[in-house]
Amino acid sequence: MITSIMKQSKSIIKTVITATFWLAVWQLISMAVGLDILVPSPITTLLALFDMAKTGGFYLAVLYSLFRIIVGFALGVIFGVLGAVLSVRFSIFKMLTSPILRLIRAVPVASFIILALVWIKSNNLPIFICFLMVLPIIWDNVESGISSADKKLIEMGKVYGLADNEILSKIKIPLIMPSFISALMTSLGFAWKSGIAAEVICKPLNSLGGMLQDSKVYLETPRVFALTAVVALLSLLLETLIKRGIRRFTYDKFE
Amino acid sequence: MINLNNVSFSYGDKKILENFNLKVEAGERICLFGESGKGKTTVLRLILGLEIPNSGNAVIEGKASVVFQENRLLPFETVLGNIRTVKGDEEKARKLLEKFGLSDYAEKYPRSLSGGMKRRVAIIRALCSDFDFLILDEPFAGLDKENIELAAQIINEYSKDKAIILVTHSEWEASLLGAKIVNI
Repeated sequence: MITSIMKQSKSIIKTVITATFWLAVWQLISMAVGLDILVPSPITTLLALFDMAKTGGFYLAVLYSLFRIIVGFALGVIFGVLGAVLSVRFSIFKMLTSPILRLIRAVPVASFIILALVWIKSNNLPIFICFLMVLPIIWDNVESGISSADKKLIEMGKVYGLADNEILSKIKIPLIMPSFISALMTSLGFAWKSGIAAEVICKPLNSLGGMLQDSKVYLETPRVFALTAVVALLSLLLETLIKRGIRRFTYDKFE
Repeated sequence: MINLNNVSFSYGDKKILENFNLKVEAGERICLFGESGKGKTTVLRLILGLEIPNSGNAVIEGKASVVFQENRLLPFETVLGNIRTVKGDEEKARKLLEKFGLSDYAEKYPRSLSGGMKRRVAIIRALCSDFDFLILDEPFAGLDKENIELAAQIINEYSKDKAIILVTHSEWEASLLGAKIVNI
């Protein structure tokens, strides 16, 4: 108990020292440049954040951006898992879909955003872009997780008379969980980056990306910094929530 | 109960078994004995239905329980969880863990067990399920003499009147289980 508290305190102290160090570096760079329009100081950025936080539009933008990214991410996860399972099960499906996956991986996200703008309403475009970025990551990881799942353990289940659905739920799914979770974490980061990039380009109503673009156009650099910080914090928050939600499925407890 | 009739089996071009015959009656105990690569484990896999013979037929009646050559414990389940997963008798498992001196490890994950402990858990799992015949593929690998004797004694106690098909390189281990040597 005492050791655990000491470990926690040490970790907090380390985080505070690291944060203070980088804030100081930021402050020094800002002082050296001497122009808020180029590099605003941490205080100016914080003030810009407080300023934005006074308006209802900011909260609406946060909510809508969060919603778009979560929906796109969830769709990417669902279809990624489905695609992976079908690919393992049916080689013809794998053969037909692999060029599409390669294409998604190879084409720059900005090209997709510009192309999709022609077909999709700007409000829904970030959802589509998030989906597109998350899909191949989940698909690849889950597919390789299923393919590399320890066949000997599956054999053991068969010999002990477990039904196919029991082998799936009691052996296969827990075995692929680590690769699925690592894919979730990686793709969540991509979802945020691509989702906000899509918002910046297509400027949907009530969006953090749209606010970022406006701030850039009006040379409100402190707001750009503040909005970037908000995006990073929301991404971290979502990552932490997902990590907590799936902790019981991870290998942490026995590794 | 187990009848392999003129069974031939090959992995690709490599012939493993040719016109192999084996008959094991209920309660009978045999030990497949022979050099490595002669197909002992393949015979066990044929009995377990994990391989299909290229020719001949395999008639297997009854339910199998098995100690594989590897422990094959689920890394994400505790010792008892591993037994529960294969629908093993939990009460029996607790008794056996006590007999093997592993009671304190019931809720531990395989990662925290030594090689010998994992082997004993694999034996316990096999004994806790409902079976008509027991397949033991080098079941005592990694155990010291004392633990081999203990494990053999426990296997004998918990598989009375059940058939045993054992694979080992040690005649002494076969004798501990009262298994008749069948050269392969």
